Amino acid sequence: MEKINNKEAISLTISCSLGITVFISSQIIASECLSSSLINTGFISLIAMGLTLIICMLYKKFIGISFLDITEFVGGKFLKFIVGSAFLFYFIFTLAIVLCKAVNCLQIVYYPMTHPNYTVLLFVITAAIACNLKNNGFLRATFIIVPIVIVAIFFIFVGNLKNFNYENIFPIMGNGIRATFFEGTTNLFTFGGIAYILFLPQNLKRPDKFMSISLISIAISSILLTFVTATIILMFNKNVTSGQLFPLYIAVRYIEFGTFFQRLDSAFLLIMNIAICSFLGIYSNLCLGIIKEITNISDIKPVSFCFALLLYASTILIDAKFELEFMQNTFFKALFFSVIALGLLILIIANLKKSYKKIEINN
Amino acid sequence: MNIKKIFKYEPQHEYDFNIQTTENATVQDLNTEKIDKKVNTSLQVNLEFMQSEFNSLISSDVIIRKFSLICKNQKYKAFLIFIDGMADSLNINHFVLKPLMQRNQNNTYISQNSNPTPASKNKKNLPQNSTAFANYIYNRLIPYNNLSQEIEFEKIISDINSGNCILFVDTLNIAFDIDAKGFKQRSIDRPQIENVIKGPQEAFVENIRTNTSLLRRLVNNQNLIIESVEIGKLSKTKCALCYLQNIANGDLIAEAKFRLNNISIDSLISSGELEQLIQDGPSAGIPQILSTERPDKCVKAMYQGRAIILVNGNPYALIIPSVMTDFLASPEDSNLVPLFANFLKAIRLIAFIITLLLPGMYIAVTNFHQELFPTELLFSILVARENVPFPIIFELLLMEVSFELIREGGLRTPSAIGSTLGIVGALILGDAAVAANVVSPILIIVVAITGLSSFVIPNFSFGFHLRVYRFIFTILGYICGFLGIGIGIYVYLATICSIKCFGVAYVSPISPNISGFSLKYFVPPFWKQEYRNDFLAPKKQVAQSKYSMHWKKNVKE
Repeated sequence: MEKINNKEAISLTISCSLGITVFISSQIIASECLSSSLINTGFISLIAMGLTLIICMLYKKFIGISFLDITEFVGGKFLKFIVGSAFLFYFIFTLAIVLCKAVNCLQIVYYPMTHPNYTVLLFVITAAIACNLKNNGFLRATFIIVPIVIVAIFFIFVGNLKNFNYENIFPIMGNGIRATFFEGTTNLFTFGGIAYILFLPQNLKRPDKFMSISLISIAISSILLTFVTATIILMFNKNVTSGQLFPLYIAVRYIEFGTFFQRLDSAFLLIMNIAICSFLGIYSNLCLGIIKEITNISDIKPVSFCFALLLYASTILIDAKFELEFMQNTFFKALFFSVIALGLLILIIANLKKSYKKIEINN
Repeated sequence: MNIKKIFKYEPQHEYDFNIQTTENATVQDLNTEKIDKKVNTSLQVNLEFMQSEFNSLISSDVIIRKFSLICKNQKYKAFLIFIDGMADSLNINHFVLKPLMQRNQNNTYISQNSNPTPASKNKKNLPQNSTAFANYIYNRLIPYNNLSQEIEFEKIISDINSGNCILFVDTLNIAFDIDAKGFKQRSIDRPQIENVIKGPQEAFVENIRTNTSLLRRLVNNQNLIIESVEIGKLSKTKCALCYLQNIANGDLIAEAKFRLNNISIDSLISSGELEQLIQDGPSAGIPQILSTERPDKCVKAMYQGRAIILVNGNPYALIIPSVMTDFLASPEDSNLVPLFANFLKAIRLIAFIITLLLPGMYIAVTNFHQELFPTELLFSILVARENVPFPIIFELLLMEVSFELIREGGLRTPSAIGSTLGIVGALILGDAAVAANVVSPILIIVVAITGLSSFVIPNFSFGFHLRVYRFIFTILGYICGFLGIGIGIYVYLATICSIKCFGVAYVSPISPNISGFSLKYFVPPFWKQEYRNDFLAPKKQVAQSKYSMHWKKNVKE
């Protein structure tokens, strides 16, 4: 992968969180926290910022070094393989679950006669193509797509201003302090970008700007999450937010500009399709990068097709065999916290080991 | 005896001509044409060699003129060789043959000090005498401005092919290469494709030297470097790499030279062929290198830090590196007020989107996303389609293919009929198709708007790729509506983002967005264009001072 500049890195990290925010987490936050969703959003945003700050501080001694190389420094090649595989599993699961959710939504709205496996296949082929493009094509495309998606989210918010029911934010604490601040902490999984940040430093043109890049990306992701959650919570009641469709799509159906633009939902769908493809491209390339690092394969391109098959299999497996709601509400959250904890633990040990070695050398 | 032959004549054998193909073509085939021979001191040897190389007994236009040259009042055998029609016969008569053959002050003069005796007459001092003799002819007998002495037949033959005249003299192991080119060529004319209302009206011609002079005249700076390169083992086509030494990035120029000098082909006829040979890689039909017929556009590009490649025999120059926004820019943009130029640029951007997506979008909306249309419009579309028996994809492809046929037909017919054919074809065919209920009127509007938009794209190659990709988006839209179009847009976007032209990302300066002073798609006012495009990494980043209008701010540099 070519080195990326600051703006590109920010767009990549935002895109990683955006897919989860739009398709999964905003709905979960709205259905779990109800009227306190906005407070929960602010709260988890602060935690996310703090977590990012800690990661950046821990990275200070390893500027520009790959996370998996740090893992190797901590526990050798075996640990590198284990940790790499754990992150790989998390990223593939994220891809599969977002894809599953998006495809289910598409099937309900537009393609009721089409089996979702065919739709998944289309997306997987797109991911395989994105992986095989040279010169960071997927990355530059993301840099162009992310602003469009941000504008679309802002547009939905502004377009629905007249439909907002401001009473929906009361009672301000929703299901109570426990649900908002303790159980609500699990909603941190929306910031998938934090896991991506761990793998960012080795790809940066200017690794010294790692902290500012990470913090800016998480801050923008937080703002977007707030917009999405606010749109959902101010418009709908619990019945809608816990349905199968993602509520942001339903929100678009309410937007009207005069008599000509009566229904803009399919235009939103077009933008979201492009956003999903971009999300797939980023995560797929990241996964291939991890596979390359843990296996030392010189040419990763042929592996991309195997990876696409694996992704296809994972998505249709989740869709066919598991309860999607359980997977996204419980397993996905648990997996996110596990990998973040693992990442932090490795960074802390690596820092201690480095400090210990320094003292040893000084002595 | 065959009875049939009594009544009917039949030839003995059937006429059957076949070219025997060689089965094993090897790379060595390319190298067999190399002539590794030098000029001999014997005139007869040189003459026989030239006669065999140029097949002068068969080729009627190869002129070999044998004559006796007078030098120091003595006669020596010599011959001239040139190609009739390529060299200027009148100039050869007046400034080569006349001074050499007729007795005059120069060739009858005998100096006291120097002794330019031919080598054969003084065998002991062969090298020195030979050089002095050659120098005497060079300095005093041939009054020509562009004259050189050559010893390699490779170079001599190449120069004869390009219109030069060569003089061989007995006893000399060198030949005189006289630049007496004089073939007929087209004069500088108005641009045929890149027309502008406001701006220079000159276009390149086929002759490379005329083209370089056009550039030199407009650049008006001694830092303009014009490097010559020969491409093609047989054709030896002259190409010129032009750049401003003090602005263009050194690595870019080195890379361009490297690519141009490492092309192993037999012949190069056009800049389009060269474009394919030097581009970074396959690009799924998306043009990577901008070609233009306008010298002013080339000069502007050079002042930005780009390089220009000219090919002899071709009125188009290649601009390297090129980015996507260049293909949507018109030479008129810099001549207009920024407001108008940007308005036109916005129109072009809309035209780009329409050309690529409108038919696909239309088919997606009518098949899958009808709710996007206002109810009244949806009803009128349904009413219009009521009597059409075909599915919408058939309708659309029928009209698109018809439109392409009219366009291609208009191009191939003589210009006087071409425009009429276009109008008649479009009007009558469209009207008849609607009347016969083959297509709906709305579809005619869609196809017409798409066609018009494709004409707005300033670059022909770029417009062509949009025409092809439009069909892909139409099929995607038909198969799965906005889902297909969304996927198509992403793949298209990622593909164009993955292209690089001479180390520069194709979507620069939009992505990667390196720094704040990149010129984006829209044109800022001329006084605000303080910096050159950073993606070109020019030697001089600053193009003009912060206050370019000194008269206004009363600033002194």
